[in-house]
Amino acid sequence: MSAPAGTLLHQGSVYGSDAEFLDMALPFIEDGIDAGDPVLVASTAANIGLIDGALGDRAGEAEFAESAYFGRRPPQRVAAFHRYWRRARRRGGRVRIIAEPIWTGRAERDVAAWQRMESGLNVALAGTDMWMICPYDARVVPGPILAEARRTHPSMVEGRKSVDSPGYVDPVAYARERDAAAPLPPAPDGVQEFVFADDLRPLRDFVAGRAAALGMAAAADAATAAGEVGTYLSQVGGPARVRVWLDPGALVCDFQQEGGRVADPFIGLRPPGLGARPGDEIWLARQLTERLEIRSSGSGCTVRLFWRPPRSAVHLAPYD
Amino acid sequence: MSAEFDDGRLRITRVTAPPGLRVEGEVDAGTRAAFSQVLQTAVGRARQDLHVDLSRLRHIDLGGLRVLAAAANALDGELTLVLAPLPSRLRRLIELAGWDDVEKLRMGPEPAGHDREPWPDPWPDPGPGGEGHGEPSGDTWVDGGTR
Repeated sequence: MSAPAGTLLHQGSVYGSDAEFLDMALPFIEDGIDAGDPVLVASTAANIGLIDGALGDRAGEAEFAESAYFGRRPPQRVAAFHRYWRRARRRGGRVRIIAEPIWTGRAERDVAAWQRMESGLNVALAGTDMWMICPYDARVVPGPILAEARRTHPSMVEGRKSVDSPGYVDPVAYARERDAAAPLPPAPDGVQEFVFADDLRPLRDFVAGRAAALGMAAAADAATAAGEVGTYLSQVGGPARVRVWLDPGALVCDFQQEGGRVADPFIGLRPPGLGARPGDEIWLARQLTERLEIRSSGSGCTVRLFWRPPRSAVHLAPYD
Repeated sequence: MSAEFDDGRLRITRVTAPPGLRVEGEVDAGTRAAFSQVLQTAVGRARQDLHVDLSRLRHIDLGGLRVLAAAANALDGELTLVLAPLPSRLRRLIELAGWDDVEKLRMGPEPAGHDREPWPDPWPDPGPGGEGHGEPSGDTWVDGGTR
């Protein structure tokens, strides 16, 4: 299989057995080692074990990371890939990554977020020349998720063979489709609100104060993330209002800007550089939250930040 | 010791031992231009490593951190910009942004006692494998790599 140099190659691969996994992964890794390419395997512990065993003495020439610890959430995953690429490319060669996403045990909305990222990688990593293969284990991954992989990867790998994905969807269209299918529930009534324009310090103080009052210990993160979103919104539009409340599963910080519109569905997905780009603020906010959702409509835009809820009594029970 | 800038929100003081600046208050869109200007001036006159003390900073945004990284890159020759003491929160933000890769930007130790953090973080970095509320920089973990 040949890959055009200088551009991102992002491929999926569905395997149904250990042998099929190795048929795909081993040539990719060994060709990379032979060519002097940096090779990273971010996969399950089981697959890392398989590759480690198959490579034998050469295992030390690849790098391994368990997927669970290589970017716990999609924005961190993108940042981790990008960081690896930035560092590894200095050694020369084309950076190759086996990037196996984990699907089991995820909430439906988290599955959606990871699928949206799989598609978004085609945009977020477009400035790199990395060659990434994302394996999907048909033994444990549900059929609908396997089918979705063909919509988020321009091509699929079987053994050494590359097959174009006829169902591949343009990432922007894909993101819009997924966002439209998951509207944000309305904010609860009677939540205290704060309106700001470019007065960012009172905004941060309001969010930090509300988050702390609702029991969030890492209120500084909330303030920093909210400050970044506020900075972005104040650049692109008029006043906005912010509210903070506690949902059953999350602490929520909601921004509403009348007349605002966020056109780029992948805003803040690419890591910042030393030259400022629009939406870098959103990137930091994504890094500091569990989840960040953006929706635009005719009347304006909503940016909603989610954190894990404050520690509940369950955690304290052993000490009662 | 003299104030290079003070508008009530941001105060930057020139310090001599080690030579550099102490920054207090808040760096955000409202004060970033002044922050950038003072740093550029300091970079221009630096004949040794430039030390910047951020331990009394209440807030700095991504744009402010970028000003620091850019100032480090603008230093002459082998000179570096040293952030010391550096609260762990700020170190983490710099690492998240990837600017710990800027070779001329050096990150120093935490301030003694940690007592100047604007808000306490009782969910400290649990390290790789831990379930933390604060997002640890160790979220990204690579083993091996002997080349």
